[in-house]
Amino acid sequence: MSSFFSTRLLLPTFIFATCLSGVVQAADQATLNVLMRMQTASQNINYHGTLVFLQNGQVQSMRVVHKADETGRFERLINLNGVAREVVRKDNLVICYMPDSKEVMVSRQKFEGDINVLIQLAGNDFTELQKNYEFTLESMERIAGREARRVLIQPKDNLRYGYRLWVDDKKSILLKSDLLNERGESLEQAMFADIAVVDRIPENLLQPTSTGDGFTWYERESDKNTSMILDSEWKIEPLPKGFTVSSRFRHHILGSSVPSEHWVLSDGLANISVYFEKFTDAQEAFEGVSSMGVANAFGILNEEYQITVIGEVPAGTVEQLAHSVVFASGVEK
Amino acid sequence: MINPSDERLSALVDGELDEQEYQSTVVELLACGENCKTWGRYHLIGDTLKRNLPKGMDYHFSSRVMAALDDEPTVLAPPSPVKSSWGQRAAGLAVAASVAVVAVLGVQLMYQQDEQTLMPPRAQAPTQLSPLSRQQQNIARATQQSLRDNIQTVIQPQSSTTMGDTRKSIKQFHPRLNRYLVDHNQQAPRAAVQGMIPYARIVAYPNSHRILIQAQK
Repeated sequence: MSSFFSTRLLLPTFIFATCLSGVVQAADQATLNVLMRMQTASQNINYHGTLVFLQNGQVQSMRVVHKADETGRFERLINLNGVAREVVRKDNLVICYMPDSKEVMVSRQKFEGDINVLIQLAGNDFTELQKNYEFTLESMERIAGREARRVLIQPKDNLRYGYRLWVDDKKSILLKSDLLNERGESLEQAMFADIAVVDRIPENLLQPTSTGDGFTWYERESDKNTSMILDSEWKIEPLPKGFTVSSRFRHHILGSSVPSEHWVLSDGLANISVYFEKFTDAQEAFEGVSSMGVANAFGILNEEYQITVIGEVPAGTVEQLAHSVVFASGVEK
Repeated sequence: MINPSDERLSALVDGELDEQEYQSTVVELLACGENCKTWGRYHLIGDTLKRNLPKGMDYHFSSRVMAALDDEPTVLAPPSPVKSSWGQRAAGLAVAASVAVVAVLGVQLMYQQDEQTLMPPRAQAPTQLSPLSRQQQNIARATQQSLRDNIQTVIQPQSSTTMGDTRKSIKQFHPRLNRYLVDHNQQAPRAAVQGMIPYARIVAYPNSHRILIQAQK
Protein backbone atom coordinates (compact mmCIF):
# COMPACT_ATOMS: atom_id res chain seq x y z
CA MET A 1 0.00 0.00 0.00
CA SER A 2 2.72 2.39 0.79
CA SER A 3 3.81 3.01 -2.72
CA PHE A 4 4.32 6.74 -2.51
CA PHE A 5 7.95 6.66 -1.81
CA SER A 6 10.65 7.62 -4.15
CA THR A 7 12.25 4.41 -5.35
CA ARG A 8 15.69 5.89 -5.34
CA LEU A 9 15.45 6.51 -1.60
CA LEU A 10 14.96 2.87 -0.95
CA LEU A 11 18.48 1.49 -1.17
CA PRO A 12 20.30 4.17 0.82
CA THR A 13 17.57 3.94 3.41
CA PHE A 14 18.12 0.26 3.86
CA ILE A 15 21.86 0.65 4.26
CA PHE A 16 21.26 3.53 6.63
CA ALA A 17 18.90 1.43 8.69
CA THR A 18 21.36 -1.41 8.94
CA CYS A 19 24.21 0.85 10.00
CA LEU A 20 22.21 2.57 12.67
CA SER A 21 20.35 -0.39 14.02
CA GLY A 22 22.64 -0.45 17.03
CA VAL A 23 21.13 2.77 18.34
CA VAL A 24 17.68 1.33 18.59
CA GLN A 25 16.54 -0.95 21.40
CA ALA A 26 15.83 -4.57 20.47
CA ALA A 27 12.05 -4.35 20.92
CA ASP A 28 11.94 -1.14 18.93
CA GLN A 29 14.17 -2.72 16.32
CA ALA A 30 11.58 -5.45 15.81
CA THR A 31 8.90 -2.80 15.27
CA LEU A 32 11.16 -0.83 12.98
CA ASN A 33 11.84 -3.97 10.95
CA VAL A 34 8.13 -4.58 10.46
CA LEU A 35 7.63 -1.00 9.27
CA MET A 36 10.68 -1.11 7.03
CA ARG A 37 9.55 -4.33 5.39
CA MET A 38 6.15 -2.74 4.88
CA GLN A 39 7.69 0.24 3.11
CA THR A 40 9.67 -1.94 0.73
CA ALA A 41 6.81 -4.35 0.02
CA SER A 42 5.22 -1.89 -2.38
CA GLN A 43 8.35 -1.81 -4.51
CA ASN A 44 8.30 -5.41 -5.67
CA ILE A 45 4.99 -7.03 -4.82
CA ASN A 46 1.96 -7.46 -7.07
CA TYR A 47 -1.46 -7.76 -5.56
CA HIS A 48 -5.12 -7.06 -6.10
CA GLY A 49 -7.95 -7.00 -3.63
CA THR A 50 -10.92 -5.22 -2.15
CA LEU A 51 -10.28 -2.28 0.14
CA VAL A 52 -12.92 -1.04 2.56
CA PHE A 53 -12.58 2.61 3.47
CA LEU A 54 -14.34 4.19 6.41
CA GLN A 55 -14.43 7.86 7.31
CA ASN A 56 -16.95 10.01 9.15
CA GLY A 57 -19.28 7.05 9.52
CA GLN A 58 -19.36 6.50 5.77
CA VAL A 59 -18.08 3.32 4.20
CA GLN A 60 -16.93 2.65 0.67
CA SER A 61 -15.37 -0.38 -0.88
CA MET A 62 -13.00 -0.29 -3.78
CA ARG A 63 -11.01 -2.60 -5.97
CA VAL A 64 -7.26 -2.12 -5.69
CA VAL A 65 -4.73 -3.38 -8.22
CA HIS A 66 -1.07 -2.86 -7.51
CA LYS A 67 1.81 -3.75 -9.78
CA ALA A 68 5.47 -2.97 -9.19
CA ASP A 69 8.35 -4.11 -11.36
CA GLU A 70 11.30 -2.78 -13.35
CA THR A 71 8.93 -0.89 -15.67
CA GLY A 72 7.54 1.15 -12.82
CA ARG A 73 4.74 1.22 -10.30
CA PHE A 74 1.13 0.99 -11.36
CA GLU A 75 -1.96 1.28 -9.30
CA ARG A 76 -5.65 1.31 -9.98
CA LEU A 77 -8.47 2.02 -7.55
CA ILE A 78 -12.06 1.74 -8.59
CA ASN A 79 -15.11 2.44 -6.50
CA LEU A 80 -17.28 -0.67 -6.21
CA ASN A 81 -20.45 0.99 -4.92
CA GLY A 82 -22.45 3.60 -6.72
CA VAL A 83 -20.58 5.58 -9.33
CA ALA A 84 -17.42 3.89 -10.62
CA ARG A 85 -15.01 6.67 -9.72
CA GLU A 86 -11.54 5.54 -10.54
CA VAL A 87 -7.93 6.52 -9.97
CA VAL A 88 -5.22 5.15 -12.24
CA ARG A 89 -1.65 5.86 -11.32
CA LYS A 90 1.58 5.21 -13.15
CA ASP A 91 4.60 6.34 -11.18
CA ASN A 92 4.02 10.04 -10.61
CA LEU A 93 1.14 10.46 -13.05
CA VAL A 94 -2.29 10.31 -11.43
CA ILE A 95 -5.50 10.27 -13.45
CA CYS A 96 -8.88 10.44 -11.71
CA TYR A 97 -11.97 9.49 -13.70
CA MET A 98 -15.24 10.86 -12.33
CA PRO A 99 -18.07 9.40 -14.44
CA ASP A 100 -20.75 11.06 -12.29
CA SER A 101 -19.68 14.51 -13.38
CA LYS A 102 -18.01 13.39 -16.63
CA GLU A 103 -14.71 14.86 -15.55
CA VAL A 104 -11.13 13.66 -15.60
CA MET A 105 -8.42 15.15 -13.38
CA VAL A 106 -4.79 14.72 -14.36
CA SER A 107 -2.05 15.57 -11.91
CA ARG A 108 1.55 14.75 -11.22
CA GLN A 109 2.59 14.09 -7.67
CA LYS A 110 5.89 15.53 -6.69
CA PHE A 111 8.10 13.53 -4.40
CA GLU A 112 11.31 15.50 -4.59
CA GLY A 113 12.09 17.51 -1.51
CA ASP A 114 9.32 16.07 0.57
CA ILE A 115 10.11 14.85 4.02
CA ASN A 116 9.97 11.14 3.53
CA VAL A 117 8.89 8.92 6.34
CA LEU A 118 11.18 6.20 5.04
CA ILE A 119 14.22 8.20 6.00
CA GLN A 120 12.70 9.09 9.32
CA LEU A 121 11.88 5.54 10.21
CA ALA A 122 15.10 4.11 9.00
CA GLY A 123 17.78 6.33 10.35
CA ASN A 124 18.77 7.69 13.69
CA ASP A 125 15.65 9.83 13.30
CA PHE A 126 13.73 6.84 14.55
CA THR A 127 14.90 7.84 17.99
CA GLU A 128 13.67 11.37 17.17
CA LEU A 129 10.28 9.93 16.27
CA GLN A 130 10.26 8.04 19.55
CA LYS A 131 10.36 11.35 21.41
CA ASN A 132 6.86 12.03 20.13
CA TYR A 133 5.45 8.59 19.46
CA GLU A 134 5.54 5.30 21.22
CA PHE A 135 5.91 2.29 18.94
CA THR A 136 4.46 -0.98 20.17
CA LEU A 137 4.49 -4.31 18.42
CA GLU A 138 1.15 -5.85 19.31
CA SER A 139 -0.34 -9.29 18.83
CA MET A 140 -1.10 -11.04 15.57
CA GLU A 141 -4.53 -10.64 14.10
CA ARG A 142 -6.29 -12.12 11.10
CA ILE A 143 -7.12 -9.61 8.37
CA ALA A 144 -8.51 -10.58 4.96
CA GLY A 145 -7.77 -14.21 5.78
CA ARG A 146 -4.09 -13.50 6.39
CA GLU A 147 -2.03 -13.30 9.53
CA ALA A 148 -1.13 -9.70 10.28
CA ARG A 149 1.16 -8.10 12.85
CA ARG A 150 -0.42 -5.17 14.64
CA VAL A 151 1.71 -2.09 15.22
CA LEU A 152 0.53 0.75 17.44
CA ILE A 153 2.03 4.19 16.91
CA GLN A 154 0.78 6.22 19.83
CA PRO A 155 1.45 9.95 20.28
CA LYS A 156 2.99 10.94 23.60
CA ASP A 157 0.98 14.18 23.73
CA ASN A 158 -2.26 15.52 22.27
CA LEU A 159 -0.58 17.53 19.51
CA ARG A 160 -0.76 14.74 16.94
CA TYR A 161 -2.78 11.74 15.90
CA GLY A 162 -1.85 8.09 16.31
CA TYR A 163 -1.90 5.14 13.95
CA ARG A 164 -2.62 1.48 14.25
CA LEU A 165 -1.28 -0.63 11.40
CA TRP A 166 -1.81 -4.27 10.50
CA VAL A 167 1.08 -5.55 8.43
CA ASP A 168 0.92 -8.86 6.58
CA ASP A 169 3.21 -11.29 8.36
CA LYS A 170 4.52 -12.95 5.22
CA LYS A 171 4.42 -10.30 2.51
CA SER A 172 4.56 -7.15 4.66
CA ILE A 173 1.68 -5.51 2.82
CA LEU A 174 -0.25 -2.96 4.87
CA LEU A 175 -3.58 -4.78 5.27
CA LYS A 176 -5.34 -2.37 7.57
CA SER A 177 -4.72 1.13 8.83
CA ASP A 178 -6.42 3.24 11.50
CA LEU A 179 -5.90 6.93 12.11
CA LEU A 180 -6.55 7.61 15.80
CA ASN A 181 -7.60 10.85 17.48
CA GLU A 182 -6.42 12.22 20.83
CA ARG A 183 -8.64 9.75 22.66
CA GLY A 184 -7.47 6.79 20.63
CA GLU A 185 -10.73 6.64 18.67
CA SER A 186 -10.62 5.81 15.00
CA LEU A 187 -10.97 8.81 12.66
CA GLU A 188 -10.36 6.96 9.45
CA GLN A 189 -9.98 3.31 8.63
CA ALA A 190 -8.88 1.44 5.56
CA MET A 191 -8.85 -2.34 5.40
CA PHE A 192 -8.47 -5.05 2.81
CA ALA A 193 -11.52 -7.32 2.87
CA ASP A 194 -9.70 -9.70 0.57
CA ILE A 195 -6.35 -9.63 -1.13
CA ALA A 196 -4.48 -11.85 -3.56
CA VAL A 197 -0.71 -11.65 -3.86
CA VAL A 198 0.21 -12.75 -7.39
CA ASP A 199 3.32 -13.20 -9.52
CA ARG A 200 2.09 -10.97 -12.28
CA ILE A 201 -0.81 -8.64 -12.88
CA PRO A 202 -2.58 -9.09 -16.21
CA GLU A 203 -2.47 -5.88 -18.24
CA ASN A 204 -6.26 -5.69 -18.50
CA LEU A 205 -6.59 -5.33 -14.72
CA LEU A 206 -4.70 -2.04 -14.95
CA GLN A 207 -6.77 -0.58 -17.76
CA PRO A 208 -9.23 2.08 -16.65
CA THR A 209 -12.87 1.14 -17.13
CA SER A 210 -13.64 4.58 -18.44
CA THR A 211 -12.05 5.93 -21.61
CA GLY A 212 -12.78 9.50 -20.62
CA ASP A 213 -14.37 10.09 -24.04
CA GLY A 214 -16.79 12.97 -23.87
CA PHE A 215 -15.49 13.93 -20.43
CA THR A 216 -14.05 17.30 -19.51
CA TRP A 217 -10.34 16.95 -18.82
CA TYR A 218 -8.54 19.10 -16.28
CA GLU A 219 -4.82 19.12 -15.84
CA ARG A 220 -3.19 20.60 -12.82
CA GLU A 221 -0.64 23.20 -13.78
CA SER A 222 2.97 22.28 -13.25
CA ASP A 223 4.77 23.80 -10.32
CA LYS A 224 7.36 25.55 -12.44
CA ASN A 225 6.75 28.79 -10.57
CA THR A 226 7.67 27.26 -7.23
CA SER A 227 10.76 28.72 -5.61
CA MET A 228 12.47 27.89 -2.37
CA ILE A 229 12.57 30.55 0.32
CA LEU A 230 15.82 31.27 2.08
CA ASP A 231 14.89 34.34 4.11
CA SER A 232 11.36 34.80 5.27
CA GLU A 233 9.76 37.80 6.92
CA TRP A 234 7.86 35.37 9.10
CA LYS A 235 8.80 33.43 12.16
CA ILE A 236 6.97 30.73 14.06
CA GLU A 237 7.94 30.83 17.71
CA PRO A 238 7.70 28.47 19.38
CA LEU A 239 7.12 25.61 16.98
CA PRO A 240 4.77 22.93 18.32
CA LYS A 241 6.75 20.37 20.27
CA GLY A 242 8.45 17.80 18.05
CA PHE A 243 7.79 19.67 14.78
CA THR A 244 10.47 21.16 12.57
CA VAL A 245 10.23 23.22 9.38
CA SER A 246 10.93 20.77 6.59
CA SER A 247 10.53 23.15 3.64
CA ARG A 248 9.64 26.72 2.77
CA PHE A 249 8.71 27.77 -0.72
CA ARG A 250 6.75 30.34 -2.64
CA HIS A 251 4.15 29.34 -5.20
CA HIS A 252 0.70 30.14 -6.49
CA ILE A 253 -1.91 27.97 -4.91
CA LEU A 254 -4.77 27.00 -7.20
CA GLY A 255 -7.04 29.88 -8.06
CA SER A 256 -4.97 32.55 -6.39
CA SER A 257 -3.71 35.68 -8.14
CA VAL A 258 -0.89 36.34 -5.69
CA PRO A 259 1.87 33.93 -4.70
CA SER A 260 1.71 32.35 -1.26
CA GLU A 261 4.55 31.60 1.06
CA HIS A 262 4.13 28.00 2.11
CA TRP A 263 5.89 26.36 5.06
CA VAL A 264 5.68 22.64 5.67
CA LEU A 265 6.20 21.48 9.23
CA SER A 266 6.69 17.85 10.10
CA ASP A 267 7.20 15.68 13.13
CA GLY A 268 8.24 12.80 10.90
CA LEU A 269 4.76 11.36 10.52
CA ALA A 270 2.30 14.26 10.57
CA ASN A 271 2.61 17.24 8.25
CA ILE A 272 1.22 20.74 8.77
CA SER A 273 1.12 23.46 6.12
CA VAL A 274 1.29 27.15 6.96
CA TYR A 275 0.30 29.59 4.19
CA PHE A 276 1.04 33.31 4.18
CA GLU A 277 -0.96 35.08 1.51
CA LYS A 278 -1.54 38.81 1.11
CA PHE A 279 -5.26 39.02 0.81
CA THR A 280 -6.68 40.85 -2.15
CA ASP A 281 -10.30 40.49 -1.21
CA ALA A 282 -11.11 41.37 2.39
CA GLN A 283 -14.39 39.48 2.12
CA GLU A 284 -12.43 36.28 1.69
CA ALA A 285 -10.60 36.77 4.96
CA PHE A 286 -10.94 33.87 7.30
CA GLU A 287 -10.43 33.68 11.03
CA GLY A 288 -10.97 30.80 13.40
CA VAL A 289 -10.86 27.07 13.40
CA SER A 290 -12.48 24.73 10.89
CA SER A 291 -12.38 21.07 10.05
CA MET A 292 -12.96 18.76 7.14
CA GLY A 293 -12.63 15.04 7.36
CA VAL A 294 -9.46 14.37 9.29
CA ALA A 295 -7.90 17.77 8.53
CA ASN A 296 -8.14 20.79 10.81
CA ALA A 297 -7.43 24.38 9.84
CA PHE A 298 -7.02 27.67 11.62
CA GLY A 299 -7.08 31.10 9.95
CA ILE A 300 -5.68 34.31 11.38
CA LEU A 301 -5.04 37.81 10.00
CA ASN A 302 -1.70 39.52 10.43
CA GLU A 303 -0.33 42.60 8.65
CA GLU A 304 -2.80 42.35 5.77
CA TYR A 305 -1.85 38.75 5.39
CA GLN A 306 -4.14 35.80 5.61
CA ILE A 307 -2.33 33.12 7.55
CA THR A 308 -3.77 29.65 7.26
CA VAL A 309 -2.56 26.62 9.17
CA ILE A 310 -3.84 23.28 7.94
CA GLY A 311 -2.97 19.69 8.65
CA GLU A 312 -4.08 16.25 9.76
CA VAL A 313 -3.50 17.06 13.41
CA PRO A 314 -5.88 17.90 16.29
CA ALA A 315 -7.63 21.29 16.17
CA GLY A 316 -5.65 22.50 19.20
CA THR A 317 -2.37 22.04 17.33
CA VAL A 318 -3.30 24.20 14.32
CA GLU A 319 -4.68 26.87 16.65
CA GLN A 320 -1.57 26.94 18.83
CA LEU A 321 0.59 27.13 15.74
CA ALA A 322 -1.40 29.99 14.22
CA HIS A 323 -0.93 32.05 17.37
CA SER A 324 2.83 31.43 17.27
CA VAL A 325 3.26 33.21 13.93
CA VAL A 326 5.26 36.44 14.17
CA PHE A 327 5.88 38.99 11.41
CA ALA A 328 9.59 39.16 12.12
CA SER A 329 10.75 42.00 9.87
CA GLY A 330 7.88 44.15 11.10
CA VAL A 331 9.15 43.73 14.65
CA GLU A 332 12.69 44.70 13.72
CA LYS A 333 11.56 47.84 11.95
CA MET B 1 -46.89 -35.70 -0.45
CA ILE B 2 -44.10 -37.91 0.72
CA ASN B 3 -42.18 -36.50 3.66
CA PRO B 4 -38.63 -37.56 4.19
CA SER B 5 -38.31 -39.29 7.51
CA ASP B 6 -36.41 -37.65 10.35
CA GLU B 7 -33.82 -40.33 9.87
CA ARG B 8 -33.22 -39.33 6.27
CA LEU B 9 -33.08 -35.65 7.24
CA SER B 10 -30.50 -36.47 9.86
CA ALA B 11 -28.50 -38.39 7.26
CA LEU B 12 -28.78 -35.40 4.90
CA VAL B 13 -27.41 -33.06 7.56
CA ASP B 14 -24.54 -35.44 8.21
CA GLY B 15 -23.84 -35.83 4.49
CA GLU B 16 -24.49 -39.58 4.58
CA LEU B 17 -26.89 -39.88 1.63
CA ASP B 18 -25.94 -41.15 -1.80
CA GLU B 19 -26.55 -38.96 -4.86
CA GLN B 20 -30.04 -40.31 -5.61
CA GLU B 21 -31.26 -40.18 -2.00
CA TYR B 22 -29.76 -36.73 -1.66
CA GLN B 23 -31.66 -35.34 -4.64
CA SER B 24 -35.00 -36.81 -3.66
CA THR B 25 -34.63 -35.71 -0.04
CA VAL B 26 -33.76 -32.16 -1.07
CA VAL B 27 -36.77 -32.00 -3.41
CA GLU B 28 -39.05 -33.22 -0.63
CA LEU B 29 -37.43 -30.93 1.89
CA LEU B 30 -38.06 -27.90 -0.27
CA ALA B 31 -41.68 -28.87 -0.75
CA CYS B 32 -42.59 -28.99 2.91
CA GLY B 33 -42.24 -26.19 5.46
CA GLU B 34 -42.27 -28.55 8.43
CA ASN B 35 -39.32 -30.50 7.03
CA CYS B 36 -37.38 -27.28 6.65
CA LYS B 37 -37.82 -26.56 10.34
CA THR B 38 -36.74 -30.06 11.32
CA TRP B 39 -33.76 -29.79 9.00
CA GLY B 40 -32.84 -26.46 10.61
CA ARG B 41 -33.12 -27.94 14.10
CA TYR B 42 -30.82 -30.81 13.14
CA HIS B 43 -28.23 -28.34 11.91
CA LEU B 44 -28.59 -26.37 15.13
CA ILE B 45 -28.07 -29.53 17.18
CA GLY B 46 -25.05 -30.45 15.07
CA ASP B 47 -23.55 -26.99 15.44
CA THR B 48 -24.14 -27.03 19.19
CA LEU B 49 -22.37 -30.38 19.52
CA LYS B 50 -19.49 -29.15 17.39
CA ARG B 51 -19.38 -25.85 19.35
CA ASN B 52 -19.86 -23.94 16.11
CA LEU B 53 -22.46 -21.53 17.43
CA PRO B 54 -21.75 -17.81 17.53
CA LYS B 55 -22.09 -16.00 20.86
CA GLY B 56 -25.16 -14.13 19.66
CA MET B 57 -27.78 -15.83 17.53
CA ASP B 58 -30.24 -14.29 15.11
CA TYR B 59 -33.05 -16.81 15.15
CA HIS B 60 -34.96 -15.02 12.41
CA PHE B 61 -32.01 -14.73 10.06
CA SER B 62 -33.09 -17.48 7.67
CA SER B 63 -36.68 -16.26 7.49
CA ARG B 64 -35.46 -12.73 6.78
CA VAL B 65 -33.16 -14.05 4.07
CA MET B 66 -36.00 -16.04 2.53
CA ALA B 67 -38.26 -12.99 2.65
CA ALA B 68 -35.54 -10.95 0.97
CA LEU B 69 -35.20 -13.62 -1.71
CA ASP B 70 -38.95 -13.58 -2.30
CA ASP B 71 -38.76 -9.84 -2.85
CA GLU B 72 -36.10 -10.28 -5.52
CA PRO B 73 -37.35 -9.42 -9.00
CA THR B 74 -38.14 -12.44 -11.15
CA VAL B 75 -35.35 -13.21 -13.57
CA LEU B 76 -36.54 -13.98 -17.06
CA ALA B 77 -34.62 -17.13 -17.86
CA PRO B 78 -35.40 -20.66 -19.01
CA PRO B 79 -36.76 -22.84 -16.21
CA SER B 80 -33.96 -24.64 -14.43
CA PRO B 81 -33.95 -28.02 -12.72
CA VAL B 82 -34.62 -28.26 -9.01
CA LYS B 83 -30.99 -28.73 -8.10
CA SER B 84 -29.94 -25.35 -9.52
CA SER B 85 -32.60 -23.57 -7.49
CA TRP B 86 -30.49 -24.64 -4.51
CA GLY B 87 -27.60 -22.91 -6.23
CA GLN B 88 -29.63 -19.73 -6.59
CA ARG B 89 -30.64 -19.85 -2.96
CA ALA B 90 -27.08 -20.43 -1.91
CA ALA B 91 -26.02 -17.39 -3.95
CA GLY B 92 -28.81 -15.42 -2.32
CA LEU B 93 -27.59 -16.50 1.07
CA ALA B 94 -24.07 -15.43 0.19
CA VAL B 95 -25.32 -11.98 -0.79
CA ALA B 96 -27.40 -11.73 2.38
CA ALA B 97 -24.39 -12.81 4.40
CA SER B 98 -22.14 -10.17 2.89
CA VAL B 99 -24.78 -7.53 3.56
CA ALA B 100 -24.85 -8.78 7.14
CA VAL B 101 -21.07 -8.36 7.37
CA VAL B 102 -21.40 -4.74 6.29
CA ALA B 103 -24.16 -4.23 8.85
CA VAL B 104 -21.92 -5.68 11.54
CA LEU B 105 -19.42 -2.91 10.82
CA GLY B 106 -22.08 -0.63 12.22
CA VAL B 107 -21.88 1.95 9.51
CA GLN B 108 -24.41 3.71 7.41
CA LEU B 109 -24.08 4.70 3.85
CA MET B 110 -25.00 8.32 3.57
CA TYR B 111 -23.90 8.79 0.05
CA GLN B 112 -27.05 8.97 -1.97
CA GLN B 113 -27.99 12.27 -0.46
CA ASP B 114 -24.44 13.50 -0.81
CA GLU B 115 -24.27 12.67 -4.46
CA GLN B 116 -27.62 14.22 -5.25
CA THR B 117 -26.50 17.46 -3.68
CA LEU B 118 -23.26 17.39 -5.58
CA MET B 119 -24.39 16.49 -9.06
CA PRO B 120 -23.13 19.31 -11.29
CA PRO B 121 -24.41 20.12 -14.76
CA ARG B 122 -23.24 17.54 -17.26
CA ALA B 123 -20.22 18.83 -19.09
CA GLN B 124 -19.92 17.57 -22.65
CA ALA B 125 -16.67 18.59 -24.20
CA PRO B 126 -14.19 17.07 -26.61
CA THR B 127 -11.48 15.00 -25.01
CA GLN B 128 -8.40 17.12 -24.78
CA LEU B 129 -5.65 17.73 -22.31
CA SER B 130 -4.55 21.12 -21.05
CA PRO B 131 -4.63 23.83 -22.31
CA LEU B 132 -8.40 23.74 -22.29
CA SER B 133 -10.32 24.91 -25.32
CA ARG B 134 -12.52 28.00 -25.08
CA GLN B 135 -15.58 25.79 -25.00
CA GLN B 136 -14.12 23.73 -22.18
CA GLN B 137 -13.22 26.83 -20.27
CA ASN B 138 -16.77 28.09 -20.54
CA ILE B 139 -18.12 24.76 -19.36
CA ALA B 140 -15.56 24.66 -16.60
CA ARG B 141 -16.58 28.13 -15.48
CA ALA B 142 -20.24 27.17 -15.47
CA THR B 143 -19.40 24.05 -13.48
CA GLN B 144 -17.32 26.06 -11.05
CA GLN B 145 -20.13 28.55 -10.54
CA SER B 146 -22.47 25.72 -9.75
CA LEU B 147 -19.89 24.23 -7.41
CA ARG B 148 -19.41 27.57 -5.69
CA ASP B 149 -23.15 27.72 -5.17
CA ASN B 150 -23.05 24.24 -3.76
CA ILE B 151 -19.87 24.39 -1.81
CA GLN B 152 -21.43 25.12 1.57
CA THR B 153 -23.73 22.15 1.16
CA VAL B 154 -20.76 20.09 0.10
CA ILE B 155 -18.76 20.76 3.20
CA GLN B 156 -21.41 21.11 5.82
CA PRO B 157 -22.49 17.48 6.15
CA GLN B 158 -18.90 16.35 6.54
CA SER B 159 -17.96 18.75 9.29
CA SER B 160 -21.18 18.52 11.19
CA THR B 161 -21.78 14.76 11.30
CA THR B 162 -19.87 12.30 13.41
CA MET B 163 -17.40 14.78 14.86
CA GLY B 164 -20.39 16.42 16.57
CA ASP B 165 -19.75 16.62 20.28
CA THR B 166 -15.99 16.87 20.05
CA ARG B 167 -16.01 19.91 17.80
CA LYS B 168 -18.71 22.11 19.23
CA SER B 169 -16.79 25.31 18.83
CA ILE B 170 -15.84 24.70 15.23
CA LYS B 171 -17.37 26.75 12.47
CA GLN B 172 -18.31 25.24 9.16
CA PHE B 173 -15.60 24.87 6.59
CA HIS B 174 -14.75 28.16 4.91
CA PRO B 175 -14.76 27.94 1.10
CA ARG B 176 -11.39 29.65 0.94
CA LEU B 177 -9.89 26.78 2.87
CA ASN B 178 -10.67 24.30 0.12
CA ARG B 179 -7.83 25.62 -1.96
CA TYR B 180 -5.42 25.37 0.95
CA LEU B 181 -6.56 21.86 1.76
CA VAL B 182 -6.00 20.70 -1.81
CA ASP B 183 -2.63 22.38 -1.97
CA HIS B 184 -1.63 20.92 1.39
CA ASN B 185 -2.57 17.43 0.22
CA GLN B 186 -0.54 17.87 -2.94
CA GLN B 187 2.53 19.53 -1.48
CA ALA B 188 2.74 17.98 1.96
CA PRO B 189 1.38 14.48 1.59
CA ARG B 190 -0.14 12.71 4.53
CA ALA B 191 2.03 10.59 6.72
CA ALA B 192 3.36 8.13 4.23
CA VAL B 193 2.74 5.23 6.58
CA GLN B 194 -0.82 5.44 5.34
CA GLY B 195 0.17 4.68 1.77
CA MET B 196 -2.51 4.96 -0.86
CA ILE B 197 -5.17 6.31 1.45
CA PRO B 198 -5.17 9.83 -0.06
CA TYR B 199 -6.20 8.17 -3.32
CA ALA B 200 -8.77 6.03 -1.62
CA ARG B 201 -10.25 9.30 -0.42
CA ILE B 202 -10.53 10.63 -3.95
CA VAL B 203 -12.32 7.50 -5.11
CA ALA B 204 -14.58 7.33 -2.07
CA TYR B 205 -15.36 11.01 -1.72
CA PRO B 206 -15.96 13.05 -4.85
CA ASN B 207 -15.72 16.20 -2.75
CA SER B 208 -11.96 16.18 -2.88
CA HIS B 209 -11.89 16.32 -6.65
CA ARG B 210 -14.74 18.84 -6.78
CA ILE B 211 -12.72 21.08 -4.54
CA LEU B 212 -9.84 20.84 -7.01
CA ILE B 213 -12.05 21.92 -9.87
CA GLN B 214 -13.65 24.61 -7.81
CA ALA B 215 -10.24 25.97 -7.04
CA GLN B 216 -9.27 26.24 -10.71
CA LYS B 217 -11.22 29.41 -11.26
